[in-house]
Amino acid sequence: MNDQMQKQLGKTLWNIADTLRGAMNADDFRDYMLSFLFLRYLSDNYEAAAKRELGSDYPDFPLDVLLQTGATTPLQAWYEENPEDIAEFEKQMRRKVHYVIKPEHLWANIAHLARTQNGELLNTLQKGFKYIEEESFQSAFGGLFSEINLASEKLGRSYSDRNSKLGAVIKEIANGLADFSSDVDTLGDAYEYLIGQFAAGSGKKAGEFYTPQQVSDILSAIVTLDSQEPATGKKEHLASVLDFACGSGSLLLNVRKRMGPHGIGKIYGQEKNITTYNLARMNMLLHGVKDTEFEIYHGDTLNNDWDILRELNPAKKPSFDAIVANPPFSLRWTPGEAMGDDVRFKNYGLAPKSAADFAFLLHGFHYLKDEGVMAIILPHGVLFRGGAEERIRTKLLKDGHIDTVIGLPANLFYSTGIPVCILVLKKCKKPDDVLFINAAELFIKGKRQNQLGDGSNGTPDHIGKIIETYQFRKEEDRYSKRVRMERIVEEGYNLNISRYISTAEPEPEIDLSATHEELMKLDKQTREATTKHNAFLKELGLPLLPLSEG
Amino acid sequence: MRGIRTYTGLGKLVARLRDDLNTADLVLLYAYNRTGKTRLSMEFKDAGKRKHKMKNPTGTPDTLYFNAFTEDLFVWENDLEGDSVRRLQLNEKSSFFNAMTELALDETIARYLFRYADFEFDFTYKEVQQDKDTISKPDFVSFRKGGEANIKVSRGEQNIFIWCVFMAICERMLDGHESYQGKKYLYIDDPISSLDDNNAISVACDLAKLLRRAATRKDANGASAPIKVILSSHHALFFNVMCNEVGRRADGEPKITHKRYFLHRPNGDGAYTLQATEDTPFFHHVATLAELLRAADPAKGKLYTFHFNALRSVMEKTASFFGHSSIAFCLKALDNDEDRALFNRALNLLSHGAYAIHEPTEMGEDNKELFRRILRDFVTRFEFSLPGAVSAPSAAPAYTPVPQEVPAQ
Repeated sequence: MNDQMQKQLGKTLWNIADTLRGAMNADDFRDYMLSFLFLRYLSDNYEAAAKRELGSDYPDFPLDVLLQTGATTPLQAWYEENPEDIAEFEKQMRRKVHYVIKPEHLWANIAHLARTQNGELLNTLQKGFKYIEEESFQSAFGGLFSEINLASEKLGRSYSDRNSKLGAVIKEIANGLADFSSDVDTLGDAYEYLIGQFAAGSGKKAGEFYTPQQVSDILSAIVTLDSQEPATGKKEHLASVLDFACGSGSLLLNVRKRMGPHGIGKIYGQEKNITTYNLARMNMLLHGVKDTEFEIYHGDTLNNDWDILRELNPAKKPSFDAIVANPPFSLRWTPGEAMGDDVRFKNYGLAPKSAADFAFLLHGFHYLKDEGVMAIILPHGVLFRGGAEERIRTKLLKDGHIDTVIGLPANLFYSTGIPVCILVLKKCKKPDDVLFINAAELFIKGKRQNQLGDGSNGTPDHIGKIIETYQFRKEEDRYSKRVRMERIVEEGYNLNISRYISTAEPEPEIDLSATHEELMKLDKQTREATTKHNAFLKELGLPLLPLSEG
Repeated sequence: MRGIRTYTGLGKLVARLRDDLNTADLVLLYAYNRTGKTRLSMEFKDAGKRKHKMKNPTGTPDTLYFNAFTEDLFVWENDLEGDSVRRLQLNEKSSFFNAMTELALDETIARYLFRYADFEFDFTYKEVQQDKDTISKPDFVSFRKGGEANIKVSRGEQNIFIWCVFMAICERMLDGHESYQGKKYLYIDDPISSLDDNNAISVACDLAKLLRRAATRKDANGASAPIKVILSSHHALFFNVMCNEVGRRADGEPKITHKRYFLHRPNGDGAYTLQATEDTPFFHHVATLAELLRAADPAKGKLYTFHFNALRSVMEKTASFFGHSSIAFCLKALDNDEDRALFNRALNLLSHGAYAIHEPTEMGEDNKELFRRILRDFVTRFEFSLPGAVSAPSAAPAYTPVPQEVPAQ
């Protein structure tokens, strides 16, 4: 599938969303829509596997032929004809694709029920979701659809109201998808596209779960480069990558895209919002990440809810090769008294209640491998705020953990217009300076959001420039600079980029001798003109103009 | 303080209020328009800026002061030429916005705004040179709704938006954010002009919650570090809800001490009088009842779930007036058992959780009926004498706060 079709699919889906969502809250609609897309993906994947499994026994007939037998899917026809083999077949499927879907829960059947406005649609769907949650993936996907309330009043007052409403939605989606192939990348990308669109449309309150693709590209490029010698290029393999505020998981998927399908040992993510957490899990699967290749945990990062991260035995303490994060900006938090002794914070201090930015940073940093690299997006304030944050920053700098500071333009995010920066941290870094990149002024002005150019379609390559500057630690006037620690100490550990990189346009240099010549020339012209003028005045008998001394 | 005290000038009045705040967490001032509230608030603020050998050698202002209008925090830029890019310009000189420079407050603001209004906002920042640094300061804010960008919002919407900005900033100030270090007082001058009454109530509830936090604030070392608050208003309903909200002690929450005054300027000679309005304030319940009756009017009124709370609060006061400790006393007086049980349940259901109060949700028809029945019974049974303006609700537009015309007791 090419880019063109990709876009087309995204647009088709978005149009469906646009026409149908008026009737319900945008957030709710997002959840329904994405869940259906996910079900369709699971179904297709499952049917393809079933076909392989059953070989020539698979009754692969067109729908009209099937319908004559009373079945809506080939699998249903097979189930009806081979009841005694079902158990063995499902066992095989569980082993091979890790989940089972009953024929009546397959997307094809659901879509058929929707097309025929069957009254059983809602019940069937409900059972299907429940079955997938409880019986599939050895229960690893408990609660995956928990936020999809098919009995919600939002859909309609009575069962039949709800049934027909969802029927309409599913019919549209089924039609929209019919022309598109169902390979993993296509659906995954369409899913990603929709998540982005929903994030853009959902306003400040809910836009935070999504990192704009371009910013995500920068982070993932940085953490996939060799951490000690970025100039040597991309790493061959990452044993593990963590995003401790993973939202819909797009940042993790971006890192994976860069590393290739087998480039990462295991993907770890944590997310506090349950709906978003489910979204992230679906997103992983839709991008072809196997359920054994990732682990997403639902819990509060600042409280450190995740059991595996609270391993007390230092020898078993988990650590990660690469850490990326775009945590909620300036989140208010309430560190309890015990927090001060928490292993993550005790060497640095607690972030203030008014902004948890540094708490997130320290959380991630604690789990960074000695040779790993972490890239995190935070508001500019972390570079210069005083008080407790100044102390944390100072300690990080003194210990040589801050490798690079990248200032980004304002208005890149949906949730806020505040300018943000990327901090690159390492436990051990070679250079004893800090690289500052002032990328704040290079962007494409957008109507509501600003964009970073990626070099395609004639845009300037803002993204590539940032990555290259980091990779080769390049210096460039008014753009990037390697600043020695002595200088940073002089500035009182204030990292405000403007202290180190002047963005003021330099005054044009004045060529003194040229200016002198020019002035001499003007003076000569004046005198010539005056002399000429005085000649007329003299003829008229009028007083003369004074001549400048020359 | 008992009786009426007279102060010959604003300075003396400020001294009195500052003195009060040494012992109380909060002072609530009620005054009619044109009494001099705003000048009083400026005087209070200035008093905190004066250099003092011992108390304030550097002259650092000790008060965070909120009045959207006197400092012109926001000014409309209507783009009269192009008539399309309408926006609200921020007064960059005001130190009020310092936190916005350093923190991403958008989501906090949005969280508040979502309860009252349904438009979106976008802040645009600009780079400003400040000492050695260039920093991003908020420049202006534009609004959008649906697909429409750069819309102009109504005066009421603008006010509620500004209020939400204030709440967001205030939260961080209470958290001890760097930008507001050294502030000891919060002066909120007439926060709600031109808000409808349901917003007035939910604003008051939000604010009361914040004030409770101000009073019990602790510094980074866990020591008590309260922010003392003065709140002045001419809006009787708002004032009343504030009194009730801060007076009530919610489960597990510490009590906050407060003083309530009626501020008056008896004649033009610059003297002010303060009259304490203690626990039987100058007719708050009556004002509330009047308000509730109006809301309950099937033809003109609109009943929101928070009205149950307001009714309960009046019942509580009534019960305590008769020497009883709970509203069971009032409920017992109602006609039938079934209503009593229903009312109890309605109260529990509808007043639980913050959202019931903050999101002005209209009552369902059945609840409205129940509410009207109980209110009618209650008013009849206890023979409340309501001010004249109330008995003819049809004459007064639902919007005008009734009590404005009534002189202080």
